[in-house]
Amino acid sequence: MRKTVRFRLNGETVEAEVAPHETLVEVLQEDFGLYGARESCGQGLCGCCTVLVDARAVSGCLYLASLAEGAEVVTVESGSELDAVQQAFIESSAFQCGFCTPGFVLMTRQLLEENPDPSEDEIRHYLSGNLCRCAAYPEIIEAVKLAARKSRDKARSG
Amino acid sequence: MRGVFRSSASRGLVDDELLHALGERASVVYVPQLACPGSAPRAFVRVEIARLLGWPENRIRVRVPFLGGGFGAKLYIKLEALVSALSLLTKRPVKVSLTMEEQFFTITRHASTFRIKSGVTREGRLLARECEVWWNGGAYADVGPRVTQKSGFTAPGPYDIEHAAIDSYALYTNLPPAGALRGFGIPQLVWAYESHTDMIARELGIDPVEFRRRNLLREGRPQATGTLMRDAAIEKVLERLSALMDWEQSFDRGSGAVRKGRGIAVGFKACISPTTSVAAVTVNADGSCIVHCSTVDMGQGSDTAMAQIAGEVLNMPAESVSVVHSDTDVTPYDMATLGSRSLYHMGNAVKLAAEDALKKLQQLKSELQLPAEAPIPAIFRKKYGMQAGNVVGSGSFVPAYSPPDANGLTDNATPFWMVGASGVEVEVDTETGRVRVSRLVNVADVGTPVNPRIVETQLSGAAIMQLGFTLFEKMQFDDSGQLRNASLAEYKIPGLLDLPGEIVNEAVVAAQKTGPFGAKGVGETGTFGVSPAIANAIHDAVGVRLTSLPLSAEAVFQALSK
Repeated sequence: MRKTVRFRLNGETVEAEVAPHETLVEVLQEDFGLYGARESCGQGLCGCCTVLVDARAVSGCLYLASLAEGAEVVTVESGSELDAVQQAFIESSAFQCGFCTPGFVLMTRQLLEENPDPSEDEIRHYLSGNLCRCAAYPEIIEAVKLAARKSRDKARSG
Repeated sequence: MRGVFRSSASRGLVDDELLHALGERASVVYVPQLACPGSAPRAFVRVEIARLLGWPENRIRVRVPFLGGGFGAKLYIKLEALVSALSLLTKRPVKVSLTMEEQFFTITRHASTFRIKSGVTREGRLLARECEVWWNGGAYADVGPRVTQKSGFTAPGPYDIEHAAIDSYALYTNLPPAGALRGFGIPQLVWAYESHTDMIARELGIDPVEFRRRNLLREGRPQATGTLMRDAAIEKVLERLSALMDWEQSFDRGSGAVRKGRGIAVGFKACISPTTSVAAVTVNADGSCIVHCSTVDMGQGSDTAMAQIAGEVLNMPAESVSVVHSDTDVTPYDMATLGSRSLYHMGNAVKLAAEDALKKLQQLKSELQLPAEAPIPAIFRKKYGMQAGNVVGSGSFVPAYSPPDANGLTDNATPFWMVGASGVEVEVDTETGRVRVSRLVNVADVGTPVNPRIVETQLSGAAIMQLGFTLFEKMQFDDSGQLRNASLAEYKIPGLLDLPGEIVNEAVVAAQKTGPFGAKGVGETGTFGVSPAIANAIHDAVGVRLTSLPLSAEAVFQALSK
């Protein structure tokens, strides 16, 4: 019962043979060697498996790969260089083991697109679905603020 | 066997000739490890698998990829031997991934029960303390016996008590096995002895900071094992905490439904001993450097620290030093990455290895009649006529240690002491029992930090993790020992909405003389004081004393309703 699914992955058209039960995060890892999105809780509660499908953050561990037909899928591996969010996470020491970081980076990008100047309270609420067992949360909040500043500065100068 | 291990902890206050025994209960509940995936195998794992298969160690290779935080879950072998056996049977590569549900059953933190009793004068001097600690180890020992002994002997706390008696028991039960979880048992001990110490102070009408000040275990004084305290800045940590909490200032406890309170707690930890670390430092002909060590960096920042230590000895920036990740065919022996031992043990080994390499470079310089200030590439160019060759230094570190005698006494129980204290300000909603931590201050003696920023994030992360264990994390077992909440839907860990309003972290100015450049471990220190500080603050706010973790809204509400 495998079927061929065609979609855009980080800007390139790709296809994969997927079984009906296979999730997007499984296909990304097994067929494309992309390990940035990882399954942790397996219930869509921790944010470690976050990927963008048609510019919307989804839990890759719950999203069936066959539903990606024709979609634009973006993972943390997209882009050839670090963006303002990734740079800010490094500068703010906003991760320890890094397992949850891809999810935080993608959610932060989405947050800043919707709200270029979020308050601390808005940051906490928007990212509350992403869990970090190392609890680098204070540094993550700093990183989001820094990324927002960097993005605004870039927008102004660009 | 019930999942929540309630127990009676009794406290006696020796008043001249009067003894009150107050019935109290203190317990710690199970929390699962929830480590991020990835195993942390090392030489330690190779030894075990070699033993199981009856093979020589050189037939087994254990490599460690980048992996998630361990927090104690990745110490002893669990799945590694099964994976090896499956691979041998199928003659194929085998990968085992655990689901979150399976992780809940793999290894947990010890639930513990601590009965504690103290004798104290009216003036507030601790004279005697009796400690009885029961560690629920579940179905397999894992590192439990070591937790029982290596942490058990600190059960009377960081106090100078003439008469101390300690019994620490490892138990087998029909529950998931328990191991170390960020603190090697210490947070469970501090939870009990610092709640207890606070109760004594308040009962005697002595300020809790002042009561501790009068009884602190000071430099050069013997700890319960007889080991003299060295490089343990307990007093400094307490005083800095008191200053950062503005403890001498009056505190507004509020009125109406939401009441405020504040509390502090101070704990200490010995480091598991004796253990060995071996390192090699290679200096290349271009002047760059490679550190070979089996310490596994799971996010604690050890790669950075080892590069800094080698760079400091060799007078080169840390950026010129790379660190090879643990691979039993390549990196030398290390006991394991656990118990905040790496920076001290492996840090010393790396320092010795770098010093050995430096000595060899200096010998070459003098043989080649090069001036002392000649750069490293010049040495190799002169010796080999081109950019070729290298120098390898090695270092091996095993701290001195004396095993305890039949009475548990030893003059050298630990290579170093870790000291951690926390202070909190809380708001307690008397209508719902909800506790909000508005301010969390963590102060620690980490020796001289090799990397102050990493130290700060370790203290902060550890304290926030402990906040979860304190306020809501709890594995719920039914009467037959079945776990009922093995998922992140039913077992909540701290998220961004659970953070205290303000967090302050500080390492006091201190030095561990035997550590590399004065440093010692920090990974667990931030956990020590959090739980009792919150319980003490709740008592300060609303006058109820909770003796079972977690300090959930329900537990607080029920205590208030009594």
